[in-house]
Amino acid sequence: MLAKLQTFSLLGIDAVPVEVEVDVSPAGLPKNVLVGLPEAAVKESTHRVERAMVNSGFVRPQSRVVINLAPADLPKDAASFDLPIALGILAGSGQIESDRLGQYAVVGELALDGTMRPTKGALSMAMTAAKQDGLRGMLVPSPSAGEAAVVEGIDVMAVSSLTQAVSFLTGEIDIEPCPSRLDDLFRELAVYDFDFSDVRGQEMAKRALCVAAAGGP
Amino acid sequence: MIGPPGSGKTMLAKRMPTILPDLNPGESIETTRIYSTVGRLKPGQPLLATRPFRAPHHTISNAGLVGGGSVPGPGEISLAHNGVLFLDELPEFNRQTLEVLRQPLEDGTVTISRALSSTTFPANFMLIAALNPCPCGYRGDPRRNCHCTPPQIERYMSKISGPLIDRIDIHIEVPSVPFRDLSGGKPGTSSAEMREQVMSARRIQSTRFAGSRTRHNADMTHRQTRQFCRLDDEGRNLLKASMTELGLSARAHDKILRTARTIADQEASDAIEPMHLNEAVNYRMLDRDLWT
Ligand SMILES: [Zn+2]
Repeated sequence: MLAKLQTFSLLGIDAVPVEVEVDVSPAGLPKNVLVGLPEAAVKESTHRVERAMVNSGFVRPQSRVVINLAPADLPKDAASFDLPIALGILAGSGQIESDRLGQYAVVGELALDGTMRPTKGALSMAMTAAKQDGLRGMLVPSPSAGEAAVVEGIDVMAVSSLTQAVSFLTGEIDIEPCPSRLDDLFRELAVYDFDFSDVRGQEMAKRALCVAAAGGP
Repeated sequence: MIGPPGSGKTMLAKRMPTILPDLNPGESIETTRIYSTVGRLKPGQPLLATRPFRAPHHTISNAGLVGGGSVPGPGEISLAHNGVLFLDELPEFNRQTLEVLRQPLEDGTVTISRALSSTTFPANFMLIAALNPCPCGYRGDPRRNCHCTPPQIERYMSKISGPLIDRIDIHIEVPSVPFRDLSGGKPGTSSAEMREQVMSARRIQSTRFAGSRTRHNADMTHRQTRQFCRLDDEGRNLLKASMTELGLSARAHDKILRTARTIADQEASDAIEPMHLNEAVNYRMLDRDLWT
């Protein structure tokens, strides 16, 4: 069976949409094939995903699993493909059924016990997700959800484990989207914990820095 | 900033963001995005709402400073985007590394080229650099004797000459502080007071440059410099005399005028007065032949 998921790859500081296709078909021996210009971090993904699945109570398919990351010409170098690959294997092998898979992009690195690790570039990914037609939301590891939620126009769902992501996607549970707290965060965080009054006896230098700041960067 | 060790150059530089205008949400997201992609956001701090301050060590590689890697990622100058990049012990930096800063200083972005593609990262930062007045650091310092020889000093200072230093608008001396000032009674001028001066000068500039691509005095074109930095006879003579006496270049000439404009703006003075000009001339200390 073939499963398709939406995720993102970072190119510099921009996130580019990537489709993860997972095809699970009967075979004599279990085998994983990963195609679509994966770099080292993604190649390691299949090992992490297998353990995370098993340790979350799912079954590793005894079949041939082909994972394709498209577009193929885009280099992919991040552990954030773990979650889409794991969910793709579960859907492709018929262990889960989900109507929500088409509406939510998924990103995140998995620990071997199936919990989620923070993802680099979650903010850029949310910015790209918000511009994509047909996407309602995005599943983001809890530690990275705050930065992603700053973006308007996309529901950011914080998930802390593979199990929780599965429960949400199969409709077993609902998750409230993270609120965009841009204004609050600004008020809370726009403070410096040091001040020029800490510097004594360098009034000439301070005067010059004032002129530098006033004249523009 | 030129001064001996312990005079407070790093403390001063680190506080520069506190007197710059507040980040707006758009700038904040731009900078946060860069930290996010390299996994540098601190837990519990999903947004960078203050201007960043980066102080890379002089042993940093080219790629570490400007960005690079097999899939190019941003470097220190992009982490300093919308904030301050501080290079302590400037002469210790690899010269080539410093030359790479020229493009970003001009464009506010850095482009990393590969055989098949190129990647551009934002890198709009204010550069602050610090150095000692001589290799041992204590030249002119009453606390300790300096035994550096003139050729040693010349060699040391020559490491920073060239195109990068030409792009630095203001040079100042940061002398060691007598102990009684360090421990003594009244606190120094606060960030809030300094920031008020900065903001009032910036308000004058936004009116001046309304409808122009220029936003600050520092970015004025040669033509704008002539238009907005008119001097009276006294000022013209003063500038001419300083140029000759100190052997200043044509490039320094315009920089002095632009800096004098800012000093006058801070006092809400339409005219550039001789004292504004004098102060601006004093901010070109590295142009002088004091060092050889
Ligand atoms: Zn010395």
